[in-house]
Amino acid sequence: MIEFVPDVNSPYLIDECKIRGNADLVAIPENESELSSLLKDADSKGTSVTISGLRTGLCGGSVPFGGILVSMERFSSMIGLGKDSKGYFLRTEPCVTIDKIVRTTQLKRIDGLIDITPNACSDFLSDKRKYFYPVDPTEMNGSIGGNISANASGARTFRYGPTRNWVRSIRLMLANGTVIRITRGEHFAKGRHFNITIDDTHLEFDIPDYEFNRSVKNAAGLYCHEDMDLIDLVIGSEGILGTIIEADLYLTEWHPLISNIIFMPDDASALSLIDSLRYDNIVEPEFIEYFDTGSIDLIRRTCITDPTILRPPKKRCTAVFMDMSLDNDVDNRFQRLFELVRANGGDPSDSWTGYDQNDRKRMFAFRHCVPKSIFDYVASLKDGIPKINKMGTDMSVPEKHNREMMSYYDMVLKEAGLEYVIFGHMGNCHPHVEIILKDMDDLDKARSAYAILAEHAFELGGSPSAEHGIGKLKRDYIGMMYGTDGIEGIRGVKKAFDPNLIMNRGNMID
Amino acid sequence: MRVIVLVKQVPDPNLVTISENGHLQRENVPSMTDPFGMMALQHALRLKRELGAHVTAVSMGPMHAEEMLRRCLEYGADEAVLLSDKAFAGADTLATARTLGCYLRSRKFDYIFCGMQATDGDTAQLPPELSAVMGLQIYSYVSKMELSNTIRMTQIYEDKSYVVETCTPAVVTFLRPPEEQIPLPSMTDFIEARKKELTVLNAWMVGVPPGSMGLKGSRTRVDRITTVVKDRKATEFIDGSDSKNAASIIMSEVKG
Repeated sequence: MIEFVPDVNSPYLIDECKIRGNADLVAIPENESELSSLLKDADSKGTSVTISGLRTGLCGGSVPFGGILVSMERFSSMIGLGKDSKGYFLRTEPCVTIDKIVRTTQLKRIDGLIDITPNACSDFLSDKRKYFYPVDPTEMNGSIGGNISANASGARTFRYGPTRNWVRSIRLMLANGTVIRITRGEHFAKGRHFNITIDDTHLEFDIPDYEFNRSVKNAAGLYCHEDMDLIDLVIGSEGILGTIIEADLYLTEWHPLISNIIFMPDDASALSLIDSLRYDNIVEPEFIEYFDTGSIDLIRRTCITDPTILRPPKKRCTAVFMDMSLDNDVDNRFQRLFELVRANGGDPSDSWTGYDQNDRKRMFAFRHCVPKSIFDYVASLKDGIPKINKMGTDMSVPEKHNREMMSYYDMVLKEAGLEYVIFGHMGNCHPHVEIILKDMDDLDKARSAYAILAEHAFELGGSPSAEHGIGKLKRDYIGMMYGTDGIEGIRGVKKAFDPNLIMNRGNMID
Repeated sequence: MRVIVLVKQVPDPNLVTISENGHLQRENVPSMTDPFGMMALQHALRLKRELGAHVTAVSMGPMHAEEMLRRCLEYGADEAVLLSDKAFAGADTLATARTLGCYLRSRKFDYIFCGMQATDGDTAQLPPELSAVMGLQIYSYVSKMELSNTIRMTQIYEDKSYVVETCTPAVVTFLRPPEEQIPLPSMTDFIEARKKELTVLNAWMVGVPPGSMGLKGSRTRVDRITTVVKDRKATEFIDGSDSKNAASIIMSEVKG
């Protein structure tokens, strides 16, 4: 095991939201037994342990504030392939990237993987159908462990749901170093009470008494509901219950897609096109993403320094990005899409379309250019203003309140005198509003505005954290949403798994 | 003006891996238009946009290359031709050049645009062989094309560049795309491209002499594939605590 005292600028002390923490020690265990000894020792001394994957999180979940930072980077192997009644599943260690999972399944390069169920590997290779892992969290270099801990979602959640829907099983190392396997369908609560024994570990606790909002995209707080499956409690728990050391992920059948970026004259016409597309049963979009005029302007500026990025049209415009099936119905789908674009004031020829790997990759790079430009911009500010961090919203609301929330973003942020762009998962009524900070004064204004927006999203029946999680950055919203009883409910569950409260302190609750 | 663009369907070079015995692992790797051929198409489309050139995309390959040619039509090519026949299989660059040459002699054109090489074979032999087979002038490694009264091309040969006025008919190979990006096809381009002509020709229709195409017409035989291990010195670590001393050690190594 590698161990060292990190210096203040160590990359192990920061994630993509750019808040910087501190730790007495960084430990990089090579295997389960090293991790188990480390945790046992820390647990006996009450030392705080923060688990980090590849640090692509956006809420400081993997950023330590004291104690030991454990990097799981050596747990980066694929283990095997299995098949059950729901289909093929891939067993993997937590620090495998989403990109590696996608490539492995797409290319069927499974050399070295073991059969988790009899003949799974040979069946998979001889199966003429193609398969894929359908969650696309935008950041493909993130770890699957991190994705499960945050219940990551992304554009394709519109059709496939979040990470939760694709996790079959988790091996979890508890704070005392023991390991339990939690498989979907095996351990359920009775009402709101768990009383279960797994691999000699007995767990008895009540789940929090709040109603976790399942009607919108939501990653705020511990997921819970009556008679729930234990695995769903661990997914999205931000590491406060234990360390994921292995996971099984379901794959689904792949089908060819055609990607389209449609340029619309203004924000209102793009939003009304999205409303008419959302449930259209001819077009059947796989996802719907939105870029406001400010986002397109931001991409235009990035194109100057990066000529590989597709250049948007010169005229002022906004854009809708959507995928649909490339099958025998594609002519009908396009005919219908053209009607909807025209009906909402657009012109179908003001668009890009692509279906081969390379063209689609360029279109996704165009989409990714918006958050990436913001990350790079905030990182560039960090030298002069060390305390600055990225301020982007992650709020979802019920569809009937989507337009109202969009107007509210404009009103609050304009009143605060802040510059911002809006883009993202409008299919799920879950755009990201990225505030373009210039100085610490802007950061203070943005924090106040953010609180007002989060409260409003909550009042409208939405979530202040739809996919990025709570981490350390958005902890206040747990109190706002669930009150003191809710916080105590989460703490109660944590105590059952981690009696000395050493694991990932500061995530979700104080 | 009439421009022929030679394009090739290749496995995505970012996803192809090399096995331990040196063979390319192409299974399940999605196909794409060779990126260098794509650059040539973009230059041709620039001539179409600025000078009204007629652009024909031509490929020799299996039937599924039709999909790639359809994409060329969506990008703006006016017509596409696929030379496809089992008799073409196994062709080396010379047999490919003879087959393409045999077909292209039946066409009127000013330029034949190609990528400088294809990412699957990486030989860069086809364009010069085609120019030899057809007796045409060739402008290789073109990085830039300027349009005024004449068409001037900048050729890059290692550390030197040459700006030449081109004469036609000629073969041109490109190593860079045009400075101004050619946009992706629109949704209407996708639909309109279905109305454009895509011709498939077999060996008999092309009229290639049987002995000069496919494996039979190839002069290249792959004997074995080996991985070349470069003989390099072991890494030496220099103590950097005295930076001046470290710099002088490095300088003496560099000077030999």
